[in-house]
Amino acid sequence: MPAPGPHARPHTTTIDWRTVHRCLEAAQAALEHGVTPTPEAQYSILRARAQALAHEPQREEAAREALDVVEFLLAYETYGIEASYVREVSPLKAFTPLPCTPPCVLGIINIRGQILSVIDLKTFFDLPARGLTDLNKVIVVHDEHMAFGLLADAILGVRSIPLAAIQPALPTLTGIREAYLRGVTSERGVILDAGRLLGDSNLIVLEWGEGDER
Amino acid sequence: MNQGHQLVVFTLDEQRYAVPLFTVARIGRLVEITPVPHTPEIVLGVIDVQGWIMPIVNSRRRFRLPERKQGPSDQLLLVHTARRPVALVIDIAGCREDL
Repeated sequence: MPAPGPHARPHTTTIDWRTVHRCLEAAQAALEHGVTPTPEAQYSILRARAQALAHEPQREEAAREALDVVEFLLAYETYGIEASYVREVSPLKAFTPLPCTPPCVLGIINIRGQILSVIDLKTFFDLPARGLTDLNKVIVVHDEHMAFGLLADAILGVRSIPLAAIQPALPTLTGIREAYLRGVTSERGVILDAGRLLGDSNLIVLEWGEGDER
Repeated sequence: MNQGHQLVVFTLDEQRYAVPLFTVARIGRLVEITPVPHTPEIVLGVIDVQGWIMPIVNSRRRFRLPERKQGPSDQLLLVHTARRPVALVIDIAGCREDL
């Protein structure tokens, strides 16, 4: 029981101990009530925890998994290609146009002794063509079977895009653009599927002669 | 460092119990338990842990301690056993201790 402490001040008014005791009892009751919530409250607490425990992974995994892409500009549109397929980026210094090739093949370049064909994605994707300058870049993509260069107007850089932020391809994109699309980012960037580009047999030009039919 | 000698201590009715640290997947507060019919009486039901459904064991009944209704102040100990991961209802998890 609380005992009245010796007060320093001499002129203390008389303390109503009954009120004090009543207050203490009320506080005690409130404390006990607070420690053990009602069954409904307990149930809702447990239920909320169960939902949090069950749903935790999607949030964490989605935030963690990301795709590294090399972003580049093509006719003022942002495109991205998976960085794991990109071997290097080099300036388009001198290329040799190759006759009798489809229009998407710009020509061939010599990168440290390796002859690579350069694909112009703009003609591929029916984008308006821009004149070539020596500021154009070539992104060399490769896998175990294939390697070629992709012509880019400018390189924006390497970015890590969370997989959750990549939306599936728009249904309005049809034809060849849809076939090579991996997804669209929230900033209207287009992620290209490098694996499918590299494995596409349409890009392999076996032989084009005068007698052949286009 | 020998992992087998590190323990996670928990209490049930003031009695201290311990499990090897490497078997413990996680420790959390008690969640809603989904009851499952036709289970052994020590199984309270199942819970969903990040998509994994695991049985939850009434450790008081397992150790033949006086029963008590589970409440939000209880804790969960998720441990790996030889056959499957299980969740134990415990009073309070203590700290890691080295033996």
